Amino acid sequence: LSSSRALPGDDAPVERRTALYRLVPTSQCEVRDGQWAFRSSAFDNSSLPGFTDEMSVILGDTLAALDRDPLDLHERFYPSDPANWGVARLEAGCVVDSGPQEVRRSPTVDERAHGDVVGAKGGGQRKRLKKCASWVFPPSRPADSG
Amino acid sequence: VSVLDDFSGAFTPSFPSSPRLYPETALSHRTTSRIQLRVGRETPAWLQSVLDRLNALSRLEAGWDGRGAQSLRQDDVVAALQFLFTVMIDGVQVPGITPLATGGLELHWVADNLDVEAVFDSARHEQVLLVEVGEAEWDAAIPAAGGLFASVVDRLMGERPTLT
Repeated sequence: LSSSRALPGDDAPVERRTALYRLVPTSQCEVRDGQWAFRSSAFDNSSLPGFTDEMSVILGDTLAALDRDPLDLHERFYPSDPANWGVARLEAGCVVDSGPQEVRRSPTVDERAHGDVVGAKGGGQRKRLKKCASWVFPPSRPADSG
Repeated sequence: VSVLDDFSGAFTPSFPSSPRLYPETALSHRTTSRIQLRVGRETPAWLQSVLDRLNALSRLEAGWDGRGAQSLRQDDVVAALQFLFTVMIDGVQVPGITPLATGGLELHWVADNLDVEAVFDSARHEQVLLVEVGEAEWDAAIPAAGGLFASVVDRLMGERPTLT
């Protein structure tokens, strides 16, 4: 099988309409009307030393070029606990407009489509990022399971 | 961190207690792993739910998000409880509580067209109350946030839609 779209180069700019996918655990959700609703804490930087200015995302344009979709991201990244993870979608343009944030490609050995949203993320910034986000699918764990 | 729901025993203030609502409340975290909380007179209705949630979150181990997240920080838990004892009044919905990757935490309340977040994030030196009503937003540093919270507290009365 050949991909219908060219694979973006590692230094290629991320277009404003590019979908960014963010894995969200149930611990950063609340239950509202019986459904998982993510909180702004889900859109925070890593705490890994050296990466504390970066929030990991999966880049939709690279996924598409690889003939993949976001529906199995939770199983790829958290195979032992996929039910506790959902996937949210943010548009790159909204992310950039939300504050001093930059979207970069940062492919890894395990994930060619890996990217980062780079910039400080205090409480106000996280709230603005949350406004950019919507579920692709929420965690499959029942929302009333405590 | 674990939070003891020990509502009896001697009153030993370890920080300036709330002068308005719960004058006999004390928090102590002299030990490294536990926060002891003692409440005189009546136990506020929201407290047990908050402690249950904090205890659940305290069981999250470092790396719980797969991206280097820290375990819950004791000083942030204490600061959040102090804030609640300062601003909560009877009838206000119990806040939701979510952890931050830094080990801090957020309290949050929601109502129609209203979203309130209190951030306790000592790793980033941030303690702030964020209030959003429709498209309008306000913020205040936690030590001076009582007035901002009070301005919306009437709209936070009653049960939250559902709480994790």
